[in-house]
Amino acid sequence: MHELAIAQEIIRTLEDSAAANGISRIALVRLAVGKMSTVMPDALRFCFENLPKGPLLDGARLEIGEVEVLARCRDCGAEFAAGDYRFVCPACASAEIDIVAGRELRIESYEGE
Amino acid sequence: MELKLVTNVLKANDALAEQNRHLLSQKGLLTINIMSSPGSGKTSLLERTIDALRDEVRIGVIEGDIATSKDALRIRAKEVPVIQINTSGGCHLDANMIQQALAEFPLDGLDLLVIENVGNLVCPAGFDLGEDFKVMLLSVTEGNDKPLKYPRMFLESRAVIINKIDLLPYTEFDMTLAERDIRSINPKAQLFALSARTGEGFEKWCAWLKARVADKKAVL
Repeated sequence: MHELAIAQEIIRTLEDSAAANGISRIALVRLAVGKMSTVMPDALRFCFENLPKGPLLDGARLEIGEVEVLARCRDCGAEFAAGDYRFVCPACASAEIDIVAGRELRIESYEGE
Repeated sequence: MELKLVTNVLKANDALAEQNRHLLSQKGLLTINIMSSPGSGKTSLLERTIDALRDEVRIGVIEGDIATSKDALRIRAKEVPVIQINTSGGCHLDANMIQQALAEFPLDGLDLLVIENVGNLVCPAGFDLGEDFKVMLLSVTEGNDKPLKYPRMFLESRAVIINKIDLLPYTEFDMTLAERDIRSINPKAQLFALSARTGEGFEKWCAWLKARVADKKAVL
């Protein structure tokens, strides 16, 4: 539901970075979006493409890499995919779990000149 | 050319949340962020918690809703400080809204600040407000499927409260199954079952909350 605000924040961040790096045109933006980020990639793309943008981002493409949910057991060190949101270690049944990936909402890089 | 940025899109929110957390911690104020669907009983839970802890814990409340001051009026009737945030369509509270509310909130002399988030089972889980921890409220009338359908809400919460247990005889809700599902998502969550209408189960919840308030003061 809040993809529009997220898209605006992405545009603002890119504008700041482009200004700092002397970039006048961005052709491609790469995002990492975790499966648990509460952001829908299609909705985000729609908002990004349809928001009014200056010449810097006119026609820029958004490449969204979805990041699977990954967890690691603190007790035995096992890493496991937790796409089913079950955060119990499948190897040793421990509940001491760190979530390693899946919450991302990150601008990784962009192509500009 | 390619420019590596590797920037968290929510960094602006996270920075404000850290400022809020710092301010609230300096005052030794425990801050909790209560999340649930609309109609699960967040405000009723608060009303009864305020009544139960009235003589022991000084509570302040920030109410988040899309529209109206209905919840703030209910809390004001309990004679505790309250401020209403209207998000005008926004699906969750964010750290900036809380920072603005804190600027005009009488924080001194409080022990516990409760932020009641916008009723929504998706977005509030993704936004740090600067709270000490999140509390998830699920009512038995919502059905057993909610933890597995909306897992991040349960994952991010330190405590999960199952409300409206007085209605259990009139629903298909299976308490054992609910606990199993919640534990599979968040094995360390503190679980409570209560009724904000009858008061059943409140002693355990209030004792736990009081202990967390004391923990917060102890580190000051």
